[in-house]
Amino acid sequence: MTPSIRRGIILTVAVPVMTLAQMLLASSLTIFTATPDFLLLLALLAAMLMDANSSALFGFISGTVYASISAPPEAGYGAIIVSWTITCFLVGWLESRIYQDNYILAPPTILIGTIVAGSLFFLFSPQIKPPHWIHALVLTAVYNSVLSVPVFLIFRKLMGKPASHTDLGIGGFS
Amino acid sequence: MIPDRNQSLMRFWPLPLLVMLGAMLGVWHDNNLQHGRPDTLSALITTVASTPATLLSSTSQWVDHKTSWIFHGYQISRENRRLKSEIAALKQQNIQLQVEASRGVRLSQAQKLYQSSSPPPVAARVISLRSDPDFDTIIINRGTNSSIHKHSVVITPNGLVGEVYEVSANTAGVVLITDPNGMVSARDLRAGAHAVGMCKGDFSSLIPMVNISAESDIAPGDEVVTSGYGVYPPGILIGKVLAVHLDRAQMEKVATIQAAVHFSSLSEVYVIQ
Repeated sequence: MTPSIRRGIILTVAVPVMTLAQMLLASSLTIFTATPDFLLLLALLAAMLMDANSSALFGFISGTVYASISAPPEAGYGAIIVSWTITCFLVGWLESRIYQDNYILAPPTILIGTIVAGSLFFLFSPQIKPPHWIHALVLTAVYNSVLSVPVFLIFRKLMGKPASHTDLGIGGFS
Repeated sequence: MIPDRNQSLMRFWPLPLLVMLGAMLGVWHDNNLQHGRPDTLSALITTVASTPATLLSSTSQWVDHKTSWIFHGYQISRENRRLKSEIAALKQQNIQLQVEASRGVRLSQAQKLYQSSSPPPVAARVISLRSDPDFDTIIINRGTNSSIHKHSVVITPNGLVGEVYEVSANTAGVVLITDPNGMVSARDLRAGAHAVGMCKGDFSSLIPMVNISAESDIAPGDEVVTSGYGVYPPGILIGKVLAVHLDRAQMEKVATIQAAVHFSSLSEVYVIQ
């Protein structure tokens, strides 16, 4: 099995697994009103290991799945997809310049990535209660950031360390 | 040699394409939602996810049910099963009573109408509970195939849960009464028509009830039920009044309602068709 096929399979399996985790576990894993966002965590971590275009595609797919299961009661479906696509693109774009595949950079990247995704979402779809939104966003960002190290290590172990930071053989846009 | 900047940017052509596609999907989704139509993509994703989610949820309950004797002893387990089935039957009866009550019968007379011909509420399992902290929504594993439609009312034996706002063949999205997008016309059960107002969700089980007349006789400890205006039928318990105060303008009262339903542990709900 070639590394690119292996990575493709891992990502294909990871999305439904994280979706189910989000649906079934997220609310029960709430700590002091902080709720994890497994799908965004997956999308951002995957973006750390992919190029910009592949990351944007993965963000788009993850965002679409998340928007469907989070079921925003008013406008917000498209805002989730667009904000995730842009954020994952940015993380993927920075990858070759900054990350160097370093797991120590995972927590700050996930923290900032979650905040950027949330801020873009708010920009595209302003929420009724901004204080609640900010509170929830910061707590989710911290929660995701804490989860990022073990998940990143597992993820990298499964996917294998990339031979080149510019081409992981995923997506194939660039 | 200096690389062509435009050519370099052209490498990222998928980004604007995906952003446009995402925006279009959003507009399409919102348009479908407004017209009460299921969004095919969203419905497909939730339907595909609902099957393993329901299976996992049921399996976890089954394992818990089968292994509880290890920790609690066989006798306790048997007694527990008997009590659970008794509770389930009582819950069903309670739901039916609430439905009857909500259709204009006084709560005290609801039991007499238990045998009426109104359709029974549909039991549904919660397959996604508040998966995003920004929205107080749940997804249930029943949809149009179970005669559930947009604006169907969702309850538990304890009280009001929310309203169906998005429905597909086998799943439905429910906005909880704790979500700011969900508003419920309510009245004080004791004071009746003299104390009516609007419950506006605040992402908490403490729901503010506003627009109450300053002269109304609403007091802590009173039960608050749906008034019947809007999509919710009258008489469904929302919660109990915890506190009452006058608003800043001293023109109206604002009450804090402790929701009757424990939203953090919702696993099974009933949908009034």
